[in-house]
Amino acid sequence: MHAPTPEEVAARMAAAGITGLKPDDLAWLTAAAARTFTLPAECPVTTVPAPVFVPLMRDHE
Amino acid sequence: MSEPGYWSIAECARRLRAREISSEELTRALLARIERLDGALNSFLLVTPERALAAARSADAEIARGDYRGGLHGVPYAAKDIIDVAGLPTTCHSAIRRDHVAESDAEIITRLNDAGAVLIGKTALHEFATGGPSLDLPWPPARNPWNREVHPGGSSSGSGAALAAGLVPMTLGTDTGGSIRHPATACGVVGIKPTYNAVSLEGVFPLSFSLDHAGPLTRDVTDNAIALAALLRPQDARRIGCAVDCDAPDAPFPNIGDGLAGLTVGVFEDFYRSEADPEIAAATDAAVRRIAELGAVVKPLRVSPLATYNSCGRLLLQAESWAVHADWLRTRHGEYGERGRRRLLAGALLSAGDYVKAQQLRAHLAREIHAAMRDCDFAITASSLVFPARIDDAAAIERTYDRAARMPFNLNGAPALSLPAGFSKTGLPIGVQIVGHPWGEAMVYRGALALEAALGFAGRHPPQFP
Repeated sequence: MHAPTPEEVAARMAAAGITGLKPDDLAWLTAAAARTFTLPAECPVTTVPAPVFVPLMRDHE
Repeated sequence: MSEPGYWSIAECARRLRAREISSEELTRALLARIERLDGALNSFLLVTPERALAAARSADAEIARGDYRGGLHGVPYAAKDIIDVAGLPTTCHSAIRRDHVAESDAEIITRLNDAGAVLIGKTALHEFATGGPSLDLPWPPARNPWNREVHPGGSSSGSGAALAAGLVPMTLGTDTGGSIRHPATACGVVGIKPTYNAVSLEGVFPLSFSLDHAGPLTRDVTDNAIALAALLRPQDARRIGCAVDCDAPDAPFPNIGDGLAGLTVGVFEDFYRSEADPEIAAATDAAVRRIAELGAVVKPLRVSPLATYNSCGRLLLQAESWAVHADWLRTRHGEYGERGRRRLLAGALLSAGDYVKAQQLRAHLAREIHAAMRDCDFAITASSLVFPARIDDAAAIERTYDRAARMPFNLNGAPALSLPAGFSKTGLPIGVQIVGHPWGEAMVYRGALALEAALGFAGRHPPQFP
């Protein structure tokens, strides 16, 4: 997963309809994205039915 | 009358049923304690004395005429202010919801009304259960009774603090990535995140619908079992093996006192051995040794790194919470606190593909835990990996936010309970988690009750709140 640049963060926010953010909000979001928005490559992404826990928890129908 | 602040639910129930004290007297005593002490803690956003006293008088009348409903009848409690109570605001600790008034009770409030419990007020939280602690909201953040300068954990901050200070014997919280277990750990009380969907979320403002759970916090394990029993739907109570009996309200789970001899207990040791503060790791290892001394077979469990679980959960939480808040963030983002605004905005950076991949990874991780625990009756691991930071140190709060081993059990939906397991050299509580199989709450309580008795940390109170 690609960590966005500051310009990309601003563009994504604008595309989502978020305008008027303070520069320090954009800086925080850029840093947070770089730090946290990564699904680890070493853990396989599977094709098992998702979410698999639902049958375990059962619905109440 | 002795000071009832630290009476357990079980003790309140015994005294109420024996009519040694009335619910009105008990409620008045706790209201007075809140009035006297909560100015230093901010654990309550709203106290509702008239409503509470009316409910207490009603409970007294029913008990007097022999219509005893069970272990919560006439017992005061408080609810996290993200849970609807008809006629009261559900602010979610946010200016966004300052003027909201709930039209009906959440299902769990209805269940507690049916049990005869007495709502005494609504407790502080992180803004919308994610953005806290924050000093820029209409109400101040709750403080930790063990040290007012440090974070009480969150997001159910007030629910943990009010219990620890003896303001009420039971609170309700919600837990999306640890928000019941974190304040339970930080405040030295007991909190359970039950099996996903075992406790209704109807009438609870959502944060992340596939990770959200509701559950009770109490000061000991027995009380927690009593509280959970009242919250379960009848069909789920049967599935869990919970048998509420008005003649034995202290024992809603028949076999939780059977001890640990002959059980097999897994240890998620990689979740804490290398990453936890040394005092926390040592306390967790000591708890594992006590479990072995009580006759259980202890075996290590190997699963993916904790960081994988936390990354997956964080991504799901941010995507799902964005879906809840997008409209408000487009038009009113300036009304959120800084921390809440930023955390919720982060979801806008995620794509649909990111979310789907995270759900697929979540399925893999959930299966992994279930497979690892297949031969175990329950498992144990640390709760927080670090001690709470100073509440006014934003950078330290950021660094410590995800240093915990709680998210794995939001991802797999299995029950997880935090109970006190020691104290740091500086006097801050340490907690460990007991983790079960889905619908395995009875075994979680059995493990927690035995460990609580062996460790002996239940019943300690913050020195500044005698």
